[in-house]
Amino acid sequence: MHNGHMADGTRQIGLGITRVEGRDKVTGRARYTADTAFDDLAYAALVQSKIPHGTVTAASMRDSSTRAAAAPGVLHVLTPLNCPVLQRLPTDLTFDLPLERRPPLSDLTVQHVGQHMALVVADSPENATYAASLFTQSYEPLPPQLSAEEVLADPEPPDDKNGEIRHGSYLPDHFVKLDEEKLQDHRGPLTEPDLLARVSATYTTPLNAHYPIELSATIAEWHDERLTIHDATRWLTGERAVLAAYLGLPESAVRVLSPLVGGAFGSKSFLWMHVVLCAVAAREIGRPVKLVMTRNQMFSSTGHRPRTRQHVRLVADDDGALASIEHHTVTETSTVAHFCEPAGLSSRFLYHSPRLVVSHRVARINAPTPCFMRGPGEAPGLFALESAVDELAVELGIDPLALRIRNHASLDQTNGKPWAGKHLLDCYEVGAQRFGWDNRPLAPRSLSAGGIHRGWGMATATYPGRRMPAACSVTTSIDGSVRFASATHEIGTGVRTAMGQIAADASGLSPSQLTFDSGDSLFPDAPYSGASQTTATVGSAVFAAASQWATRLVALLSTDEQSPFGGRRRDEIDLVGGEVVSRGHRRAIADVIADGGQRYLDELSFTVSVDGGDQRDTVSQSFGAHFCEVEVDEEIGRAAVTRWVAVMDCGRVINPALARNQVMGGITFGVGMALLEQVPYDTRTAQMIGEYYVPTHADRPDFDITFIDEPDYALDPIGVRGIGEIGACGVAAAVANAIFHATGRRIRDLPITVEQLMNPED
Amino acid sequence: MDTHAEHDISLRINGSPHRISVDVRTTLLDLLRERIGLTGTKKGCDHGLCGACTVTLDGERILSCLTLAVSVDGAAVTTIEGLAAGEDLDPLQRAFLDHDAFQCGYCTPGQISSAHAMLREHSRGDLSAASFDGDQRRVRDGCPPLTEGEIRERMAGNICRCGAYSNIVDAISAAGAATER
Repeated sequence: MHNGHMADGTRQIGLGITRVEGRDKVTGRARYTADTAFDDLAYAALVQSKIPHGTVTAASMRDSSTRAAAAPGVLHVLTPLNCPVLQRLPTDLTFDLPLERRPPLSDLTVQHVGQHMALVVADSPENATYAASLFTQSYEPLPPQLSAEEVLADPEPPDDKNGEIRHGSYLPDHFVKLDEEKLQDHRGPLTEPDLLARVSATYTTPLNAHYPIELSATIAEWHDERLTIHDATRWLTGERAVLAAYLGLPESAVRVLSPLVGGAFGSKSFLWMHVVLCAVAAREIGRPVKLVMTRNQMFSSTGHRPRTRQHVRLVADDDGALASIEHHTVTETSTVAHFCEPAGLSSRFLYHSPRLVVSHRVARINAPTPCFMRGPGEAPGLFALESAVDELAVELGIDPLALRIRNHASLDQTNGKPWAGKHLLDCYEVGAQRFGWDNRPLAPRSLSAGGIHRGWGMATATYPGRRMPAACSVTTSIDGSVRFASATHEIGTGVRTAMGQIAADASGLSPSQLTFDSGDSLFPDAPYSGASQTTATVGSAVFAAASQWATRLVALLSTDEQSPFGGRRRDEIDLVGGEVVSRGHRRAIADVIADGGQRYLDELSFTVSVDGGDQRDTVSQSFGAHFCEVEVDEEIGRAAVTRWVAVMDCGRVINPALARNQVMGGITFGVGMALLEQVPYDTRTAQMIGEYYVPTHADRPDFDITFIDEPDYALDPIGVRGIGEIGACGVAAAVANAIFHATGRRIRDLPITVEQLMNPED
Repeated sequence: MDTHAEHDISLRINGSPHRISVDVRTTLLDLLRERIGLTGTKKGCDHGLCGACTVTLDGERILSCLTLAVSVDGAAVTTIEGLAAGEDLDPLQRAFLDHDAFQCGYCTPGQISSAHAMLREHSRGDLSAASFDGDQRRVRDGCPPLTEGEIRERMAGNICRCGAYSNIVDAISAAGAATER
């Protein structure tokens, strides 16, 4: 394993310690991007389009710009008419990531409602907002394509602007840059077997928005030709690369800072068009420019989960053994960026089946660019698959849990490799026992009392164990304090705390002696904080750095004639809980460092890089089981999720308190997806015509969360697999399945709302 | 400098007097954050939906994003920064820490400010919709017990997208019990 002769009493991994930034968060001292103080700050406000497709007339843009520029306190008005030309982003970035091909403010054409058309900068937020309101854009509208159905029915218009703007639909080969995540896949016999037990159903999921409570905020400032961006971002290094590309600068001239992020859930990366506009404005006026997006702008300007329409076909024999799974998805992206919600990916491996067909078609519509949202693919895809499996169980008269167990997959059928550690059967067993699933009557409407219909539903959860390359620096100071740092992001997951726990165990330092810093692109590189990969990715770098730190200190001591430990063999010297221990002799690490002086500090300050690991022989995948109870009152159309049991197999759990909080949060997120959330766009004008409802205190169930806590060392040396998203996966299906069990109504379109629950079956 | 500093107002913020010239359009939220430098109170929606901007005004919880600063001239405002006594945390703050009642922390000042005022509302006998779910005697006799259902109902105006709701309720419950006479 790793360098550790540590007494159990000092081990940090596995402890539910308080978050390191917790005190700051409860006292208001915690600093997020918009809290950063500046002298001489100027404030910006966005002007956006109100139509989905067409052109803004140059005359109206000019007149509006002039009017706004003359308003009180206005310092600058940036429009397509005067914005310096921004470079197109490199194709290797835009080809398969949701980065827009067309730079912002590059022309007067409009591709979606909410597209940035101007940026107004003034000396106060009120003056900026007022001046922006003076814009009256005249449009030459063109017919928009607002849905996949329209796109697929109409002939495909040609590309515009050298392929920056594209229409029609396409069949993506794989998900992002992961060649093996095939979005078009076929395994087994060509034709579907002709067995009697079958499900053929269409499921739809609506537009979902991340809705982090922190509004996206940016402050851009220049010093000479060097740009510093303060941004609520979860991808420091990516943002640096994209801004440098837009502005034609070397990356060394761009620094991105993100001290804390108030929630991301998949947003706050890729869509940095507003950020570069702030940078341009700041350069024009020679003052730092601050933009805080409005809540409405968050829906159109920071990404979202696009709609899906999913057709699932299951065929099984009379005992419920699956003979064929088909999962076909139609989804949407904008006309200016590539994105496919990969709903069918989990169906490729989740259940054993000799035949598997998965397809994805993406329609380019006049809507904002979508992007990853918690459980991209899994969240909508498992809604469809886990509902379909439930429907098959009903068809066969088999318990839904028993049906899943019967079709349990013992290896990853997409590549034939075994899972590195799959404990899904334990999740089912423990969850069922804790929930009381054995008492579930098979027939729907069996648990009704006093006009309330109770139902019990379950679903399988899954999410990949991902890991990417990362680096970590260590800096040792003369007082014995050690700082680890990496360009990662504290978005609420508790990464700073978890990294500290990993570093403490691997180094032998006491937690009070070390810190883990994030939030600065000058720190060693790390990838975006997404894909539930941060603990495995940055954790591996921290582990390597901390282990090497310990090795170096032991080597220093062993060869240091001035040290009481000099001359001892290295394997006789241990670092435990902040002390050097050897043959009964103990000394505080802080003291030996102070004694060692600058020579020690130099040797104990360095940077390590680690790669993304090597998953040649096994596949690291997390699994889980959700069990829930829902009460439905058909007279008022209300569904209340009352209790939830979740058992998660996510590898090793670094901090059980953080992990539990994450999973409860994920389940709550999923309950919102199931019952509340849809971005209310008017189908004709594409404008938002209502509010987006997210779960409140009143909407969530009582929780019973368990972790299997078996390490997966195939993915990383700490054994973690990530927990940020799996909690949200499978939740919508569990709720829909419970609602079926309560009412006998199978609802296949999310969100499940009043209207769908109020009409009792006749 | 501001070109619309039109009205002089006085506010007592966290016990300190402030005399400021404000643009009539400035919300109390923006005043606290952009002018006074008290950035603990957060902007989550700026239209009264999420509760992140909750502060107490003359002891009552309000949405500072929907409050024009000029309309509260003379009032006493308490923000998240004003709850702790130096380095000693308020019992609610302590409870939020102990129960991990947050994740990203952005809604947290609003949750704590709101809960602080809510506990006061409850102890003086204010009822909520949840008060009518249970035994009528508790409603009739005033001051129903602060059950989990009561806390959830009374805090339903403070949204937490990270979903730390369960721990928030535990923290409020613990703090409420600790400060009960």
